[in-house]
Amino acid sequence: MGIIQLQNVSKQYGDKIILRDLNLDIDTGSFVAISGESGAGKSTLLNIIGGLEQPTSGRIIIDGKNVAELNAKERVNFYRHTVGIIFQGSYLQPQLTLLENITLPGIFAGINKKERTAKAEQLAITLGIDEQLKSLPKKVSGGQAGRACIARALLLDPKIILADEPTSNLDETNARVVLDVLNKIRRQFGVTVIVASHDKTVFEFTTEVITIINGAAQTEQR
Amino acid sequence: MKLREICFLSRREITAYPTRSRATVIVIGILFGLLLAALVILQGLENVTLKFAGSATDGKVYLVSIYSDKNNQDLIHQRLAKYGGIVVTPTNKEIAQLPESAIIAEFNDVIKAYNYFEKTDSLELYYDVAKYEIYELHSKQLATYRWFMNLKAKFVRPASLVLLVVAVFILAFTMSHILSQNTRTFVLYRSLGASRAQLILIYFAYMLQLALRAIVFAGIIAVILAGISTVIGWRYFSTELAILYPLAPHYPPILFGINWQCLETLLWMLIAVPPAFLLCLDQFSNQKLALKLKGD
Repeated sequence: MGIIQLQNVSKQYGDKIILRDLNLDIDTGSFVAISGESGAGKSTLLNIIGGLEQPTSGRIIIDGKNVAELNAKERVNFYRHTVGIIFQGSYLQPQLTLLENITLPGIFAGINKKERTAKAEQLAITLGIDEQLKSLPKKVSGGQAGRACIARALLLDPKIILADEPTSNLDETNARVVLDVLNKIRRQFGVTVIVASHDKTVFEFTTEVITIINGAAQTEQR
Repeated sequence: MKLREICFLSRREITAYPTRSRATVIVIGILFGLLLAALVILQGLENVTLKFAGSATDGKVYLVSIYSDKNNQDLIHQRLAKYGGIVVTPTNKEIAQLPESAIIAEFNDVIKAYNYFEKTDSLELYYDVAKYEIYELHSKQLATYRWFMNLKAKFVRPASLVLLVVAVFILAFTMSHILSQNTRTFVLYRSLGASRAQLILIYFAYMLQLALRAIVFAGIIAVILAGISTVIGWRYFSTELAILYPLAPHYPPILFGINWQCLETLLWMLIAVPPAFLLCLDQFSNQKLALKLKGD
């Protein structure tokens, strides 16, 4: 049984059906790409897996727990320890330095400053952005911002990384850097990585591609 | 999450949206600054007028008390002790003019003298107000004090209540606006493991910081306006007070005075924060966030 299971998941906005009766089983440590045309429902599926949106029907079981049935405390713990989310467009808080951005999950989780800073610095070295830690997001390149988002998502050692179009604002070189980092983390720590993207470069790194067409999912093992 | 971290994140919200934050501080600061200026100027005027009014008695208040109920003659002494009045020996001229039962007392504090004069403790001490006569000798400090007190009660108090309501709505509107534009930040913070309570604390601290800045701004406005009023009104008030109290020495009419109402007015700005925050608390609901996330 996989770390992520979708059972008969459907999602519609008004009359528009976005996802239709999806059944997916994603194994621990896999690198999954969710692909499809613009508006196909890639981000919606990712948001549903991440608990940011509720499905119209169906169940999402993550790490043995039904996401819809999580109470407030369990939901907070879910974001602290189970999933790390990387939003589209390298979304960093503009008023915070990269270090402050990366350590945000540690602040919310109540980890002391010394510990969370040390972890952030260690991740920054791994991701090659240790020189930029004191810079504001507007002062760094798209690739560096993308890597800062990855570091932030990894700070609390989540079991799953969900990334929405992580390469959308990057050139091919930077896109490969970001994807390579995600892949290395997956291999090194056994993290499950799910990426919603229409970028073909992503497919070179993935173990599985889920394509959404007319609300239905087609799975291809690689 | 520690208080220091909550303050840190809320302070960064101010730097993230400087124009919006500044506009809120300026609007609320001006509103309360004007009221505060009125209070400061009024208190300054009251202080200087009382100085003129009390110049004949060196600031002391002399009250004549007569209680016509012969069964309770100790009452006057009892009340004088309560309000800090000291019985003084009348001069020969006063003895000739006053009834035999009259007692003259000296007060060093106008407020205490006024409270004694007002006879508000009749139920507590069981006396008949109609049989109790009190009037001021040598000066008109109590009348002056009462005139200013009435002015504050009639105009300043209602104005501060109206301003409080206005401030609540401005803060609530601003906050609601900020929160509705911060959907991504909310979703980001929630997805990074922030609890709803933590989010609420961050934005509550943000509003408190805006209110604190507005307090400082209002204080600056009040000081500036009081200074300008003093400069503009110097000649006018000097002349008017000299006409009203011709025997008094010339005191400089500095229109700057602080009283508890000034501090209370500043406090209103902080008091406006919780109701304003409650008005936009629904912005933090998970359901609303999910809907907005889709709207983005």
